[in-house]
Amino acid sequence: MQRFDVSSEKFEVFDNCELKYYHADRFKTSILKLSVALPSDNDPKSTAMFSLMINLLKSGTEKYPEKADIIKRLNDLYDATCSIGGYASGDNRIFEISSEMLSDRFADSESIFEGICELMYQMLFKPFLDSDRRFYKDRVEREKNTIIDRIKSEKNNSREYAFKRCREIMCDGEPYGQSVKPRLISRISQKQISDYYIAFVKELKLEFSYVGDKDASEVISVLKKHFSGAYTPSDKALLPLSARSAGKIKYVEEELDIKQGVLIIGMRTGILLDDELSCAMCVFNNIYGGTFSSRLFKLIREKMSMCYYMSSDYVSTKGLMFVSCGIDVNNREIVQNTIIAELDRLKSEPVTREELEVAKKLAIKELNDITDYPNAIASFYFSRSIYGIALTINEFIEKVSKVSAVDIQRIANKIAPDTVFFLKGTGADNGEDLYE
Amino acid sequence: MNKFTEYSNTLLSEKYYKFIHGSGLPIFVYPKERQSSCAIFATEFGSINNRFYDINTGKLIDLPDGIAHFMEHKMFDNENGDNVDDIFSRLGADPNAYTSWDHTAYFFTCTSGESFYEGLDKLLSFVSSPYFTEESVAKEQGIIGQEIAMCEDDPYDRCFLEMVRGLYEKNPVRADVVGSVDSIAQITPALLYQCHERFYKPCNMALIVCGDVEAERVLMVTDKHISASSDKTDTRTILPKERIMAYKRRVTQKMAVERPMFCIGFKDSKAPTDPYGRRKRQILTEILIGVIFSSSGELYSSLFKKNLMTTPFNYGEEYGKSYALGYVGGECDDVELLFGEIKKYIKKIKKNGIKKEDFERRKKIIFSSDIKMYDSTWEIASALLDSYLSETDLFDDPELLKSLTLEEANDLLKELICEKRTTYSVVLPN
Repeated sequence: MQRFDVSSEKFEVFDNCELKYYHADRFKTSILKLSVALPSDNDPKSTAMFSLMINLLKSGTEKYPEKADIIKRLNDLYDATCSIGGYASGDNRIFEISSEMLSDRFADSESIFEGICELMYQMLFKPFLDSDRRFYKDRVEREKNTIIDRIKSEKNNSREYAFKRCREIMCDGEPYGQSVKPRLISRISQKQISDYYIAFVKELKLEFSYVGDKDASEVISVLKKHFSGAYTPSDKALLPLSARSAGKIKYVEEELDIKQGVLIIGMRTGILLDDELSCAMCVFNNIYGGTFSSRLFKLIREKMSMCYYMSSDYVSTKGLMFVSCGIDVNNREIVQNTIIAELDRLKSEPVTREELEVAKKLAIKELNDITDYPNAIASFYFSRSIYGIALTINEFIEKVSKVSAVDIQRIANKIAPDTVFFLKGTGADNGEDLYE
Repeated sequence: MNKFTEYSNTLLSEKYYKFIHGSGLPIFVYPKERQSSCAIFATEFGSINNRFYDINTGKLIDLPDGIAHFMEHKMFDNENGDNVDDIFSRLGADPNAYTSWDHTAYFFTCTSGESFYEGLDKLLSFVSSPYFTEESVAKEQGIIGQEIAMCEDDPYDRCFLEMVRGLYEKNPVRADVVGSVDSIAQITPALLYQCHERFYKPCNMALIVCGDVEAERVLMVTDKHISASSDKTDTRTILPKERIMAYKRRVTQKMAVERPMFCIGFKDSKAPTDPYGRRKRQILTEILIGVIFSSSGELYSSLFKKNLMTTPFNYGEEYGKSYALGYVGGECDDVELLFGEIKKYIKKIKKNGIKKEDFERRKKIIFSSDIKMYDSTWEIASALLDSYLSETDLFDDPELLKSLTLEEANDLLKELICEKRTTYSVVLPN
């Protein structure tokens, strides 16, 4: 049962710009998100430009020309955060500036909320440009190096690297499968990235989300003060949610000089965020590999002792599921076969009543937990509202509570493995220790 | 509520209750109106507690590395064959545990209400009831073997560990918390039972509960599992005398990384031993390290403009009863050039002192971070545990922070950042 009111309200800030508002005075912090959802053009060059633009927007503004100036400003606003990022949602792209700040009731002089709104406006609409309205060349080159260095470092985290590779291979040709390529980053010129930015901010579909203790009228008033007239509203439609079918399974292996192997199996479920089985999918995931009491965890870790971590994760905007584990390279075949065999069992045999009830309880607990975290509240509503899905947390819980064993079997029978990626550890000792 | 003492902080508008159970177990109950509540049942048995005198035989016992962590895994088994994860899952609760240098914590989160108290009952029951067999120990060696491999493949983890090993010659913080394949092979059921008997006594533990909970009900559940006449005998471990200077000034290793990475450690050998003196020192170190290495600071800005650092430093401090250090790490294509720049900058600020505005800004950041923490039941419970282990009170931190002066920070700067007490740990590409 939900103890706190969990419905968000919608307000129009100005033409074609909505505020999703959630009043909560039980927190000491507030969240403000500025989001731009746009269709991805599935062009790797555009993906590279998007990534570089984000870095440049973080690097300085008219009023705060250096990164250090932005950080100092945030420090002065009682250590508020203000991060700019981008991520994939289905075949669309989300640009987001997200801030977590203390409530103004802790501020002694200026309003923290007002300061953050001003900073967000500066970061998006007033980046640090030269007199020709271009990013400075040395800054462009520096941020290109930053991105390339970041990509180089991805292999340092073998699990995340393996997941990225599986996603790239599985979704090759789809926007979700794209990653930023260093060679494309290095070719971007000062003119190209500046033109890209100008085009980006020319027409925007802006949306705000707020979770905190301020009245809606005050939030709207401050947002209007800073953002009215700053841009032209866009009516570009997002690409609808779509799922591809699995074809012949792709097996790909890469080697890395590490001890442990990382196995990632990407599966196509065909179940998207707006599907009637979407809410049931989180119950399925809990049964299959998503919790400590799931089948894969109990079998491969607890019974077979073949892994330390084992998980399955569902990507609702693409209808994908990824099973991942770190294993000894010699156990790859047996673990891989076990993962597939367990899926087959779920297709042919109904789950037990106890298994189903436990999975539902854990799913409901996770949903209940959302209301304890302002950021989780904002993310929950935004991720659905851009696809026109008006589902409250309570409604989601209601649907989960009604999931049946038949639903679980139906879901299992929709799922097909698509890609098996194995990052094979070559098992060498980690080099030489050299003491000086 | 008669038995509980109330602690409150009017600035934060927060309060909690504490009671020392007849067994010696301190119980903290922190009411917080949230959907979810959490409970932590922790023991002061971590990776550094590896040597003691057996009270029955008087024999000196040296434990194999990784045993505290191994025990943490094994506590999830019980004699009935039920898995503890399953027991909690049936309540819709999410259990977990971790082991650090100086403690092991078992915890769960659960939707507030009756299920929470059922979960608390299970938590106290399973942690108090060890069950180890040859078969289950052998099985766990396989699982932890995979965890060890995962840690050994993590260059950030290795870089940090070698930094600690460079600072400390004898202090057992230099042992890997997870141990090694060889060390965990020495673990037996008898040894695990011995450790449980010694370190899992209520007087060596703490229970922290945060959420929509009632203190009296927590006490009722505790009384079911913890006897007031529990053993209160010696739980001390023997810690070796440690040198003041860093053991090794430079440690280099090669791993499968694309770019060099580094971790610089500063050994605080002169940290006071009294709890509040030590806590004050820790906060001062936090301020100092932040001022020097933050992304808004002069050093990072200059390194970024020179393209020497393209990602921010990561930095922090670790203070326990027997160890104290500050550290900073990151990635850089030319670590030698970077170290030269860092040394030059530190020489400059030691001469001129850190600026008052930077000092005050850092205090503001810590103050704000402390307030934000009170939104999360998990963060509150963790912070309460940390303050208990450091023998201070959580609510004293704001005043402690306020009392710190620029002069104290500049004095610490001269003491803490000293070449002879510094280790440079580097990981180079193969």
